[in-house]
Amino acid sequence: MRGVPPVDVIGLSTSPSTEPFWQATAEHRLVVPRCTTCGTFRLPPSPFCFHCRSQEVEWIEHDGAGEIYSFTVIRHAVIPQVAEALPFVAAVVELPGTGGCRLVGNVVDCDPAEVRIGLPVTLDWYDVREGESVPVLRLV
Amino acid sequence: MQEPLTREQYFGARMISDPLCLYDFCLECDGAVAVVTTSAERARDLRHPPVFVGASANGGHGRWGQAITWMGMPDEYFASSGHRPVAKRLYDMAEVGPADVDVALLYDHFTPMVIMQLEDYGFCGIGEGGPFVADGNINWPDGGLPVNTHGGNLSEAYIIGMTHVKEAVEQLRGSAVNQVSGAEVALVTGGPASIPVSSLLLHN
Repeated sequence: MRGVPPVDVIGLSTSPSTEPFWQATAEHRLVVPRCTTCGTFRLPPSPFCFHCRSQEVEWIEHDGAGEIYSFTVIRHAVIPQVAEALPFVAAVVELPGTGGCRLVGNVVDCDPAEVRIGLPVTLDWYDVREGESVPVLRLV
Repeated sequence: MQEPLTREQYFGARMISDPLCLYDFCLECDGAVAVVTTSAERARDLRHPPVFVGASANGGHGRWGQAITWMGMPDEYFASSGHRPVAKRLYDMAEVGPADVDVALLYDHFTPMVIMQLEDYGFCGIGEGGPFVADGNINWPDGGLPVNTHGGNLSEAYIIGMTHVKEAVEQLRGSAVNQVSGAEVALVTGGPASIPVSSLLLHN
């Protein structure tokens, strides 16, 4: 997979409010927390609903397909370990049907010059290690 | 930065993270700035001419902090510096508006934040910051609103924005190196992007 940093610079740490999200990603499923009190989706997973302050959520599965809302092409290695991955694309994709929730992911195996706002993308997975997978994006 | 930066040098610099190139990022610097505050009454007896705090505000939009790490800010202010609610509070508190500001010291760790703050503080319309700058409005000495007359974080030193406070004080005392003629009101902003953001209106 081109356009992702090497596995040894990636480490996931979870909190009670983010753990279900990352447990699902390990199974290659994207889930978005939805407030069970008022129905508002939110990403990133967080302890309180920004709309009604409730803490109860249900985890709604999403296929991750959407359009690129914004992106940048990273051309400078902030840490030397990512130099070989340059240039890579970090994009924000808006998830349809979630009231504007967005997911950040690398657009993999692409020519960075082809990436544009509004292009459709689908979800794929970067398997970092056993039990840890990170969502990535692919141009359709 | 010790030497003038030409338009050609700026656009010729290597890209770091599109569309930001080398000169769109400030430098890490060592330094210190101290600000002495006291009552207006005591300040009048001190050696230097006093500069008064007309208003100060701190905070941000409720959704902003929750949203920023995953770029989930609502559409209406996605392309903003996060300063809009603080700007309104600041102006209301000081009972002045953008037209009253003579010089603006805008926190400039990254170039786009200057353009977005010009919009968020009402110096031009939302989305019009680029043309506003290109038309020369923020130039010193001839622009209507000279910005970062000291060079700012980008070109003087990045002391986490404190040089902006120092520059505002010097402008209002009439002792700045690049003095704005007759400056009476200065805007100083801090920390755009992540909240809380903060700002000051100073006057002489």
